[in-house]
Amino acid sequence: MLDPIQRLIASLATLPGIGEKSATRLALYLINCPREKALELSHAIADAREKIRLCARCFNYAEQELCQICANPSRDGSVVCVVETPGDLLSIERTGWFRGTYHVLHGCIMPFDGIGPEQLHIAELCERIKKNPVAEVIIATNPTTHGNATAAYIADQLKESGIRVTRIAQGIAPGSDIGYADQITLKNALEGRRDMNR
Amino acid sequence: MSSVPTVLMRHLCSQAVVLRTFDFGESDKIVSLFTEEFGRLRLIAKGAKRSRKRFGSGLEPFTHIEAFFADREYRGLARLERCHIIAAFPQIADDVRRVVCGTYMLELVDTLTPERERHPEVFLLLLFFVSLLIHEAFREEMLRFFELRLFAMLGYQPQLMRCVICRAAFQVQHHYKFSVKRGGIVCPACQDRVAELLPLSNGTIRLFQQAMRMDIPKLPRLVFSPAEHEEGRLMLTKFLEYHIGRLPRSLMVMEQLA
Repeated sequence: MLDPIQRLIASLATLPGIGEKSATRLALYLINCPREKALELSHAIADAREKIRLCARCFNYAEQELCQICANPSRDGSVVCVVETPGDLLSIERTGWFRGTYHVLHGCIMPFDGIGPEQLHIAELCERIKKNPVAEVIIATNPTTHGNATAAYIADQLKESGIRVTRIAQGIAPGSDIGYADQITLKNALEGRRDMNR
Repeated sequence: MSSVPTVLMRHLCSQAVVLRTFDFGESDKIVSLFTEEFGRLRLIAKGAKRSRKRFGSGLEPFTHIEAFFADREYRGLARLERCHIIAAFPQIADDVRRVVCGTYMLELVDTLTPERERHPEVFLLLLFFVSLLIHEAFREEMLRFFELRLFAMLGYQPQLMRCVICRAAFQVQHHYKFSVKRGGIVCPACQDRVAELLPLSNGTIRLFQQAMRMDIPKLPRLVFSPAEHEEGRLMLTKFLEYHIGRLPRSLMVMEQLA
């Protein structure tokens, strides 16, 4: 059986992005720091694991049956923004611009990893829209091969519903240099151009 | 005094097809490439996750790139320094079925080829079939030709020209079956001596024989009947499963979309 320090190192080393050296450094810090600080961390982990669940409507993290966004009556429920992860939802929330609601897929179609539509919350999205029709679904999956394929799959699934399905714009990032953009990014930027004098 | 052997860092370049990438640590990516000059390579792309300046969309699966990398042979991962896109196929992502079919091909190459073993013919085969994915005429049954030719290039070619038991040459008037374990067709006279035989019609056998002989660019001209495709698909899937010990993950996703 592993001694407590080895057990802590082994547990920390299972976290994403943490190798054995980092795990050892963190474990030694936790052992040497004030007892209350280490216990607070352990309680915070246990508390979060205990209280956080998935929102019954959008699959964002929630403390109640519905997350804070779905439960907020001032949000526009007629627009649903589909994102891959709760982290992506937070990024869009940080803009302060979007006032609609979300649907979190918890990944995207990744055939290499055996992740298909059945492993994501796509069927629930279709069901949700069938029960409560909306004006627009914005697909904000990542602009990668797999993110785009997931977007195409969702658009196809919603085709029959007649609901407006849009894809977030793709192209040159503000502050970047056209000279350094690759051909795909430039092509997307040209395709997604918009009128300036209307 | 003991001398420490010097390991020289080699700066290399090769055309490649991107098989897959995955995140590594805070800002790096591990990239699996199938290169023309060095076969399958796993490389680390430093900072690829955080900054897209150096690699842009060149690390997306299916992309045909020219990869520039630093390599210490037999010492960990090679380091991808930069890449130049030769051809990208973003249209593949417009159709999830094509993405899954394409990923199946990438997964086969990633699984069946040993690292650092040069197979320029596999590179050309992969590149041809990846570029086929963006064509209107692409059909899922074309994957069977990819499987057959890839197996042959890597030494797993199923024996379709003669009975694997008695070695008698294929004759059209006989009804053959396929033995996954023996790796080929079994004539009627030998079928009692082999267990677990799969049905395989003469039409499918002859189509596969033709697919083995044809120039690769001409392969899309071959057409299966639905029944031939189904038995050919089943045979090749079982054959693959026998050799790699599991079903490819992308095949399971393909079944979800069926």
